[in-house]
Formats: sequence, structure tokens, C-alpha cells
Amino acid sequence: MTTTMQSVRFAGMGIVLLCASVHADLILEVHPFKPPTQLVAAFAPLADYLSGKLGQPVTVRIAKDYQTHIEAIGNDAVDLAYLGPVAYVKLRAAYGPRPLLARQQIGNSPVFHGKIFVRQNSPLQTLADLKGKRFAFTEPHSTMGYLVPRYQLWQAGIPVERLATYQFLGDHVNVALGVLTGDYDAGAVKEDVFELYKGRGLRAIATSPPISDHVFVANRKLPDAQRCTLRAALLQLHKDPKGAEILTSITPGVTALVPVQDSDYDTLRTVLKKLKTIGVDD
Amino acid sequence: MPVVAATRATNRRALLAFIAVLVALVLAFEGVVVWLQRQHLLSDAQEEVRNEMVLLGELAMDALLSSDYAAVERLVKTWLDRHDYLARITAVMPNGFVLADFSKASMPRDTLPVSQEIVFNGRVVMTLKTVSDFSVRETGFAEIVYRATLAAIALILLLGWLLWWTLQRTAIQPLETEIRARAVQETQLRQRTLELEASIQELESFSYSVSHDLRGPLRAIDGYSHALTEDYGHVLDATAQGYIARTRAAAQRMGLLIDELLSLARMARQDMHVTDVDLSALARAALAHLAQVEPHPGPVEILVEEGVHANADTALIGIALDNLLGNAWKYTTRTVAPRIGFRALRQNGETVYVVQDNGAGFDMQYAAKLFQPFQRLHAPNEFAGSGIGLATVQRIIARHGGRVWAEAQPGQGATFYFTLTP
Repeated sequence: MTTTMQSVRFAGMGIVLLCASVHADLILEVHPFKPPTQLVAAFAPLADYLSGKLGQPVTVRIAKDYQTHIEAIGNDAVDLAYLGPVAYVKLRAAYGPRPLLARQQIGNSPVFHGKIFVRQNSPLQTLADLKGKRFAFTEPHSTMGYLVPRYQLWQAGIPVERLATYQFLGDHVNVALGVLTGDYDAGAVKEDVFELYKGRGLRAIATSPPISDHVFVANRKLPDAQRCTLRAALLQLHKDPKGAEILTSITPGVTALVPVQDSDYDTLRTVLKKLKTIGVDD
Repeated sequence: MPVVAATRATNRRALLAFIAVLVALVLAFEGVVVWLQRQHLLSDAQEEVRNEMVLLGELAMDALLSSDYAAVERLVKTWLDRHDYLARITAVMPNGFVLADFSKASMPRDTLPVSQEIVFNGRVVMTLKTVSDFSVRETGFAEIVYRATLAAIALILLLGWLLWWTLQRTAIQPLETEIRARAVQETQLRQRTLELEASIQELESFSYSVSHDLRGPLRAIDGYSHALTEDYGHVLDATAQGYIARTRAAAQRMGLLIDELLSLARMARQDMHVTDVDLSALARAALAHLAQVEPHPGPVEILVEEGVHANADTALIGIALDNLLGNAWKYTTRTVAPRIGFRALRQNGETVYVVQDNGAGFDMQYAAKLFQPFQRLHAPNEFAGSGIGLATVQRIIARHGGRVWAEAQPGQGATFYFTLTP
């Protein structure tokens, strides 16, 4: 008994030692939605917070690209990941379920919308009017800057081939400004960017269905206790004295991290499935 | 010396006026120069900003052409932040949309707006409007203007002083010397005039007293001659009585001469009161008086023009007319069908008054002697007279500022002309 106990204890010590040597730091990987230096700086407060809660250092790592990011989580190569909704849907489809920790809430809502818009003084009123017009998207991976609006256009009978031209302008702000300058007749961006530029002369002609926001996913192999600690730490973050600062550092406007389940991404899943049938698979 | 002081004051005024003109000219010149300089400065500054904006446009071009508007915004913002002289940059797109509009926290005091179109392949892709801080240049410029104004004032003062100095040396001092010399001369002249007037007065009082004193003995000669005739006429023969008569006539004639002399002397000193005088009326009255006092043997044809007026001293001009008409009356006493006229005529823009008769006349070669006292062209036994009358006329006319002259021929009558104030 004693021997067993000791062997168990030794085995336990061995695991601890193993973990300590291989996983000296927990790795939080983030997809490259901004320049890496900015992202490291943006997630550093969160990493510090989590380090404190876990009693273990947490390091921020920026994925090379979206695909690599999905693969890293799928292959359990990182402990913790911050994912966009599309990336999550793809991860789930390719690698099966993963432990979900929390999703991000901007303002009062854990879901967000996209807007398809024209200039204030434009004669265009509906999506159907966009036939033969110039359209500005953000970039091919963007949920609200490409995928969802492309689905909306398709539903309205305007596949991109019926547009005069469409361009990827890199980021949401450029799309808003591109329409304002008159270089494009219409564009699609996430709602908060639209709200920011609306006052300078934009008018929405369509709003996307609600899409669940970014999500924190844990490694399947992470011990339950650690996972529970992590989830609790994330869900309690907004109550921390530094919580607001840490949250807005991730993305401006984030007010809390809230509970999440896989079905929250069903709407987006439907959209992506439909897009896949028409050959859109980024 | 008050004349010199007055001249100095006039000179000073002239100099001040000259300096004022100089100041106005220099300031006007400076104003034009300042304006031109400022225009130059402005266009220089604008050109500089334009070049900067063209550069900014070139830097923004790639981002603009690849629809990276946010990058253009950032570039404009960075550009504004990095350039102290820029207060505001606005990027306006061809459709009028203001892509970027950034300002510094505070606007400078003096600003310079510049607008520059950014062109790519002959197409305007953006217009950059800037507001630059012109304060530093403006302040520097104000400093230049301030210095230039000081220099101009110094220049004016220097020129003014030089002018004053030159004027003093070349004109004022010689002028003052001359004025002083003249003042001395004038004082001497005044002194001499006073002396002369005093001696004239002395002479007049002398002649008056002489005339007055002569009258007593004359009256005595006449009186005693008369008494001699009355009391001893019966014992005197005709020759003696003839001598006494001649003595009396000579004494009476001398008395007349003395009277005339006194009157001539008074004439020169009498005060003038010039008023409008009816010369026609005076002439008629004089002739009526003559007709009464010295009646002609036969009828006299009188021709007096009506309404001849003049500005003159009534008493003096009356005496002159009395004399002229008296002469005419006298020298026509032996004329058959005597005729005496008075009229006025216009000659060379002035009024000439004419007294004409058809009497004895005179030889024009003696005309020069006519108006001198005691000069007579006729013997006293032919025509009575003292030789003072025309001299009196001459003086009266001269005192009125006029001239008197005569035309005549022996036996053909005489015509006297006179003018009054020119």
C-alpha cells in the first residue's frame, strides 16, 4: 500500500516534473488579426491576469496565419486559444469538439452584426440594387467583412459575379472610407465600424443575422482543474479591478467574457455551409 | 528784427511742409515696398507648403491607389504631427468627401491657407488643404517693417536736417542779411521822410505866415492909396492919380496871388473824402456862378452832358471844375459866338472828362508849362489871372490818382482832359 502510494506519489511527481519541464509556460495563441507586436501588447494584460490566477506563467503567441492557428489547436499544440467565430466553426468541423471557455461580449451582447451600406446620398436602397455595382469587402477571412455579407448578397440574388467589381481593401475602416470616397458603391463591415463612420455619410441597406463573437478554447488535454480555473478566471474577469482595462485591451468595446456553448455558432455554421455549396471556402 | 523773425517763421513753415511731403513720400514708398515684400513672402510660403503637399500626396499615392484609405488618414495625421508649422490638414476626395481633417490643439494667430490638388495620370485623386502657421514669418516680417520704419524716420530726420542746414547756408542767412540791410535802409528812409515832412511843414507855416504877414502891408498900401485918391484927389493931377491907381491895382493883384498861393498849399494837405459826385451838376453851378459874377458881353452856348458822375472828393473836384470852366469862360470873352462844353467819354477802358471851349486857345509848344504855377501863356493885360489855377487843377487830379492834359491851337479854342482814379 505504502509502495503503491509512493509509486502513485512518484508518478504524480513525475507528471508534475514532466509538465514543469515541457510546459513551463501555458501558451495562449492568438490569430493574426492585427500586427503581432500590437497583439502581444494587447493580450499581455490578460496573460498576466491568468498567470496570477493559475500560479503559472502564461505566454502569448501569435499564429503565423489563420489556418496554422486552427491546426495548432486541432493538434493540441497550444493550451489556450483566442479564435474568431469562423475559425471556431472550421476547427469544430475539422477536429471535433473542443472545451469552450468563454465568448467575448462587446457592449451588452455576445453576438455581433455586420452591415452592408451605401453612401447617404446614394440612390441604392436594397441588396438587389447592387447588381452591376462596385463592392468593397475587407479580406477573404473576415466574418462580417466578407463571408456573411457574401451569403447575404447570394440570398438576395446577387452572387459576386453580378457585381461590376469587388475588391478586398484589407480592413473594415478602408471599406467604410472606400464607399465614402466614392471609389465603391457599397461595402460590408462589422457593425461597430459602421456606427463609427455612419455619421460621415453612410447608410445601411442590410443587417446580417447575429453571429456569436470571438471565443476562448482550451486544449483537450488540459487537466480539468486547470480548465475549470481558467474558465472561472475568464468569466470573472470583468469583476476584477483591472478587468475593464484587460478586456478593452483585447479589443475595444469588450465588456465581459460570458459563458458559451457550441450551438451559439449554429447560425454561422449554416452560413458557411451554404457558402461552401457555392464554392466559397476560404 | 521782427521782419527777420517773421521770415524765419515762414521758412520754418515751408521746411515743415517740405518735411511733411518728404515723410508722406517716404512712407508711401515704404508702404509699397512692404506690400510687395509681403506678397513675395506669402507666395514663397505658399509655394513651400505646396511643394510639401505634393510630396505628401506622392507618399500617400500608393495607399490611395490600393484603397488603403486608413493609411492615407494615418499618413496625414503623422504628417501634421511631425510638422510644427502646419496647423491643419484636410484631405478632400474628388467626390467632396473629407477623408481626413486633422488640426492642432490650438490655432496660430496668423494663418496661411493653401490648397493643392494631387494629380495622378492627369486625374485629380485628392485635394490637400492646409492651414499653416504664418505667425513666425509674420512676426519676422513685422520686425522688418518696424526696422524699416525706424530707418525711414531716421532718414527723414537726416534729410530734413541736411535740408535745413543747406537752406540756412545758401538761402536763409543771405536773405536775412539782406532783410536786415533793407530794414536799416527803411528806417533811414522813414527818418528822412519825417525830416522832410517836418521841413515841408516848416516851409508851409513859413509861407503861410509870410503870406499872412504880407497881407497887412498890402492892405496898408491899398488903403492909403485909396485914402490918398479920396482925400487929395483934387490936388493931384491925372498922372499922379494914374500912378496911385496902378499902385492899388498892383497891391490888389498881389493880395490875389497870396490867396491863391495859400489855397494851393492847403490843397496839397487837405483830407480827401471820396463819394459819388454829380459832375454835371457841379459844372452847371460853376457856369451859372460865372455868368453872374463875370457876365459875357453876348450870349454863351453852354453844353453840359447830363448825368456825369465820378468817385471823388466833392470840394476838391468842385475847385478843379471851377478852375477849368473859369478858364474857358475867361478865354472866350473876346470870342464871337462863344461855346463852352463839359462831357465824359470812354477811352482805352477809362473815363475821360472833357472841358472844351472855342476861345483864345494857346500854342501847344508851351503846353509843358501849362500846369506849372505862375506860368502864364497870356499877358495879364490880355487876360487876367494868377497862373495858379491849372497848377491847382493838376494837384487835385493827381491827388485823385488821375491825369490831366490839354489840346489847343491859338485862336481855335482849348480842350482839357482829365481822368480820376484809374
